Amino acid sequence: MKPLSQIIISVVSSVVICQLTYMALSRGLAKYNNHKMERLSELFLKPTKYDLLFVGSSRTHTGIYPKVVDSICRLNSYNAGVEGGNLLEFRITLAAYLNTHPLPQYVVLTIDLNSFDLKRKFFNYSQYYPFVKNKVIEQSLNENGHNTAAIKILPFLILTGYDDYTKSNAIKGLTGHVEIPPGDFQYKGYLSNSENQLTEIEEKVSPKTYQITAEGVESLEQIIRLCRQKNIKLIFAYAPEYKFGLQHQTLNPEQILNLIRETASKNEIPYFRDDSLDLCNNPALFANTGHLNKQGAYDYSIILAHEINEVRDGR
Amino acid sequence: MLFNSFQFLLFFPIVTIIYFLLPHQFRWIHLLLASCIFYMYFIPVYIFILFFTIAIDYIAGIMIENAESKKKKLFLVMSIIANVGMLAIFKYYNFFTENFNALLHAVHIQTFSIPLLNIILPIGLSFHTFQAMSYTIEVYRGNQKAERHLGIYALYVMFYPQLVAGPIERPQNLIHQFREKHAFDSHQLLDGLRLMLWGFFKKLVIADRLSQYVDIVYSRPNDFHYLQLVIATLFFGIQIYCDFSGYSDIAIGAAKTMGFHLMTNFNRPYFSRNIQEFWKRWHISLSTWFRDYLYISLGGNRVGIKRIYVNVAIVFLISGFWHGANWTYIMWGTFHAVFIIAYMLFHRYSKLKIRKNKALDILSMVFTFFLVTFAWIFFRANSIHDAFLIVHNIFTLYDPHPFQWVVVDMKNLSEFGLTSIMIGCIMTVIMFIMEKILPPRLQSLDDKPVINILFCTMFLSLIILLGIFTKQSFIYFQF
Repeated sequence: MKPLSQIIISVVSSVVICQLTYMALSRGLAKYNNHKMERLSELFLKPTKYDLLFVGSSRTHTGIYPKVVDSICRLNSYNAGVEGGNLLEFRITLAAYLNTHPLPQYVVLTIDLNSFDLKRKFFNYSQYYPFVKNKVIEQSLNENGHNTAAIKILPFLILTGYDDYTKSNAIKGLTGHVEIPPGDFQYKGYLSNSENQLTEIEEKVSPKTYQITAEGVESLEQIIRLCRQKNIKLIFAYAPEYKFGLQHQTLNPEQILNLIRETASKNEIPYFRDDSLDLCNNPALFANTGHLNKQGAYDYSIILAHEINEVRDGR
Repeated sequence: MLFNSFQFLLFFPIVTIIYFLLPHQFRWIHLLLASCIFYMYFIPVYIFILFFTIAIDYIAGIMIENAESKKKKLFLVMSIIANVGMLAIFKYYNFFTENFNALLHAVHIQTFSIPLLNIILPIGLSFHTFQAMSYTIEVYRGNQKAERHLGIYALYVMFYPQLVAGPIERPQNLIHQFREKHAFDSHQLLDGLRLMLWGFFKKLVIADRLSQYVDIVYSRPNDFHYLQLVIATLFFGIQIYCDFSGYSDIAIGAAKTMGFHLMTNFNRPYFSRNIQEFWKRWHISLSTWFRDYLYISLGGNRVGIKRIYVNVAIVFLISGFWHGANWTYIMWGTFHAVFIIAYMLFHRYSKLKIRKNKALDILSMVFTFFLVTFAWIFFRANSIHDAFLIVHNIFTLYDPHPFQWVVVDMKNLSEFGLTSIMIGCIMTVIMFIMEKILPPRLQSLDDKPVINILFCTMFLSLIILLGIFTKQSFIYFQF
């Protein structure tokens, strides 16, 4: 057999194997992450009108319960927290949301200590690929080195963006498992974070420095400009953490918190520092140092709703 | 440009196709331009450093050839000083300055310190500098005619497949190939692509997967249990092999698709039965460089036995220093010098007469692997302090926390850490089996089309399905 034929046969068979594997894995992943697909579809493809949008990382995703906020504020809110997200992802999420939805009145942006650190731009960029119909998503992926044109031609190339975690989840999905464990639920973007309570073992982490990157700062500025242009009231928040645990695990917390405070002050943006609330001393309300559990999210959402009402009332 | 980048996926076929479409007399221009583009993807302005060394060595080569015997040496020394000077400025200046300043500080002179340079090391500087030096030395020795064609000489230094991480070619092997007309040969294309595939498999599926674990453990060694330190060190041994030999395979394969033959850089080094054999199989282009140009220049094996040991120590210390301006690399080189000298002493004075058998071979391979892996601790550690801490923690069975906690802590691997590690281990076993069965360049697959197709299909699929595409570098780029 001629060498060129051998090359062609090898490439074609690999493409077939990869495409079939991709089809199976994406099916498994859709089953396993059904809630995530539903949520990202709502955020990036649907036109539903919400009054209030919560943008942030997993600390927002699992820490703010829209049902509680809605009942107190009499608003229709949605939780757009992105797992592992940083300010770049927050900006993309907000811009992509605004691309398909009517404008919200309020955006609550929760900024964490690691939000400015853009060493890893996307925590899980492959989760955005199914939503490239949204032009903001497509443009953002391309701008950050993730080629969407190639994916359109050869869909199995999405697999190159899956890490082992995603792949093992896909296999779990094929065997009938789902990500949300029994007893937990998703509601308007919020994902309940179990009833687990904090254990001391979580505290043993060596402190590290989070960088304040220029791109991180620029992303925040873009969010502020975007909200100003669209006449959306922007509010900053710092989510609860157990006894300042995340700040103790960081070598430069003051530098980052000062930057957020100064930016808020310069742009006259209300800023809720919720790391010194009473609930922050109660380990029964935390699943781990940085994340509230189900009860914690419920309690915090009440406090946050009242804080939002204060802003609405102009207090 | 990185081999494992989307840009290279476009660059490689375009360059290869245009190469064969062009008439022979224009091909060197095409390759030179392509090499410039390849290099300029990193820091464009650094291309001028390359041009500078090319100009110096091009002129030096001609002057050495034309000069009388006494002046030959002078021109060679001048060329070597220019090349080493580039390394000294970009790679070693800050190291020496920091150490000198620390020394001043230690003797309580705190009012004076030499300023550091705020520069980034040009990628692959040590590689192309050594390749350029190889040229002038060979011209001096009369083994190579000085190249009159500046473009061809520039291409010898800049040929993109081996520009940033070798193999460090000798002029006798490479320069004449640029003058030869290479007709398109589908057999060579297949051979080259297959070797590239094998390189990508080692790099993307094994090295980059294992590095996730290694990076986390080595970034905070004192947080980890001794078993995790052992695992991370073993993984690093495999990672660096797959990373670097993977790069070499891709380079050799890419060159081969256009009909160029680069030297073999790795010959299954972890199957070596002693440390001396290891160095005949690991980074062959560098170890032979040191042998040919340093060890032999120091007297080689023609001197007394004590002097041989001193020469070996010098070569390995410099080899360590070549890898990086850090005490960790010097320690790494020192350990290898000690291992080699110990082996030579054992070989010379031991009265033991052991009959060779398979079990002993395996035992010797395992022992050699552990010696090499031990030295890798110093190569990989972020500082000399970390390296000794790791050694201390391993040998004192350090146990800071319950073992399972660390897997939970591995943020990037989190709960899938074990899956990732398992895949990495299985792929490593497959890789070693393949390396044991097949020759270094996989030539034995040439006349077995079915096996060849199965091999290519399997590994291309594995790369796409299991490759880690987020890692953005090769370890040896930093050298």
